[in-house]
Amino acid sequence: MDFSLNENQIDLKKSAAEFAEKKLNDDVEERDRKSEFSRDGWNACADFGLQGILVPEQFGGMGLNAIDYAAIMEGIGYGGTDNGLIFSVNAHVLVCIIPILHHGSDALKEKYLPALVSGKMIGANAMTEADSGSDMFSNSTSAEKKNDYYVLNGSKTFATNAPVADTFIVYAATNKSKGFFGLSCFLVDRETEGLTVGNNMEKMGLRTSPISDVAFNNCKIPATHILGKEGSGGIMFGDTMEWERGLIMASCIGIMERQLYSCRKYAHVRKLGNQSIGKFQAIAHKIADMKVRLETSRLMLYKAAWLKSQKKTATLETAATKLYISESYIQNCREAMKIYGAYGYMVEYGLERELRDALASQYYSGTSEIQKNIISSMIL
Amino acid sequence: MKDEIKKYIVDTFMYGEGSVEYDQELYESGLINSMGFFRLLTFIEETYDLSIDMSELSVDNFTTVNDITTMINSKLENK
Ligand SMILES: Cc1cc2nc3c(=O)[nH]c(=O)nc-3n(C[C@H](O)[C@H](O)[C@H](O)COP(=O)(O)OP(=O)(O)OC[C@H]3O[C@@H](n4cnc5c(N)ncnc54)[C@H](O)[C@@H]3O)c2cc1C
Repeated sequence: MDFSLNENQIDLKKSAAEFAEKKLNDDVEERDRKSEFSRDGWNACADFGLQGILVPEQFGGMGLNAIDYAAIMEGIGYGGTDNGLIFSVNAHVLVCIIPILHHGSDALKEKYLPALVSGKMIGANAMTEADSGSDMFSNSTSAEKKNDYYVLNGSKTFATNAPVADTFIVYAATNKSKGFFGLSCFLVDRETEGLTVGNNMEKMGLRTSPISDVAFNNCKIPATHILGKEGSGGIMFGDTMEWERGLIMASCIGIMERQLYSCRKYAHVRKLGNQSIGKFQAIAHKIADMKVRLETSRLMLYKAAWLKSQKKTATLETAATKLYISESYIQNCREAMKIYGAYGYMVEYGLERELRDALASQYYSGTSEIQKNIISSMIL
Repeated sequence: MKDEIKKYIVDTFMYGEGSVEYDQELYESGLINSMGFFRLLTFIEETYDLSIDMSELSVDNFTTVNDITTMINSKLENK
């Protein structure tokens, strides 16, 4: 058993951290205040290759695997502080590009992947509905087949990137009575007649990542825009969620590493009386706990990434990874603020923003309670 | 193989009580739900040392014990 990254992965991680620090961190506080998405940052990420890490070279991507993705995003989280932008890139890759890559026809791949990789197009994923929330498979958005197209009706909420998206992955019932087994998945263009995108919703954290409702009123979707087969949407959603839950927290491992470094440093330089606060056992233990949470989170991340790189089904493992890392990440953000005392509470230090950003992780990709439901239903 | 899968289904989803026919539809009857689907998939990958690409799966080739066995056999042949 070898727990180490290879040389190439170490280089990728390092150059990702350098890139993020140089190119993504300008004016983050101001953009956070204004809930502003950075299209320049998005394009810089595309130029660096982030959107195409998992996409084969024939479509303009880097053709790398899930472990490479985890290593690169860990570097991005370490160097970058625009957590909202990084979250948007993750959503674009993991829940828009992945379903097209895994389940799209050759024609759809050829048409959409190059533009999604180059940064020209932005993707969103619309599954959640206002009335069904976590109970995804009782959604009411429907798609009715008519000749060579489907008629899509319904509305979705909390779709990350929707305000700036060019294309949407939409899950809709083609046979409502079958629930999970009656769901289908469609690729829907923003210009589709009858599609309306709501205003950006103001959030507590991840404010530089736009999010909104999307509504479909008798939208005519070409039958060629179905991903996979009719009725296979639930399986595709499960596949996509494994990738998202397994990998979306990779950048947060980088953030945890950066935070730990700055807390260690602060614990040395902050002196009360004649001694560094790091000499207080209460502070030293917080740092020890942060380190343990970071290392165990990293182990879970790379185990999940390895399973996905082996093309294994990993429903339980990815739910556990998402649950464990998100809760650890939030806990580390809280501890970092405590170590910094009142300075940690001040906007200038960035720690309160990081906690606000971290708190979102207990909701997206399924809440922590839902991850526990998944884990228990896989073993009970 | 068919009996092994059948036994897993009865043990896991029926707590060992009752039986399943080889051609019985497993989902619409409510016997296996969405999470059960992924649980069965994980069992198959682990037991037969396979990686099943979810894009190959659909509700029509994974619906009965007979379908599932056919799918596994074809995967094993092409391994
Ligand atoms: C930043 C952010 C980005 C998001 N991006 C997207 C996106 O791109 N696309 C998308 O489709 N969705 C997205 N979501 C939505 C997210 O997936 C949902 O918020 C989530 O699935 C929960 O749904 P809900 O908010 O309606 O909560 P509800 O389902 O109403 O849950 C309310 C509470 O009840 C608990 N609960 C619900 N059901 C159960 C149960 N069976 N057992 C135990 N507890 C339960 C929940 O854990 C929660 O605590 C995003 C959310 C956030 C915060």
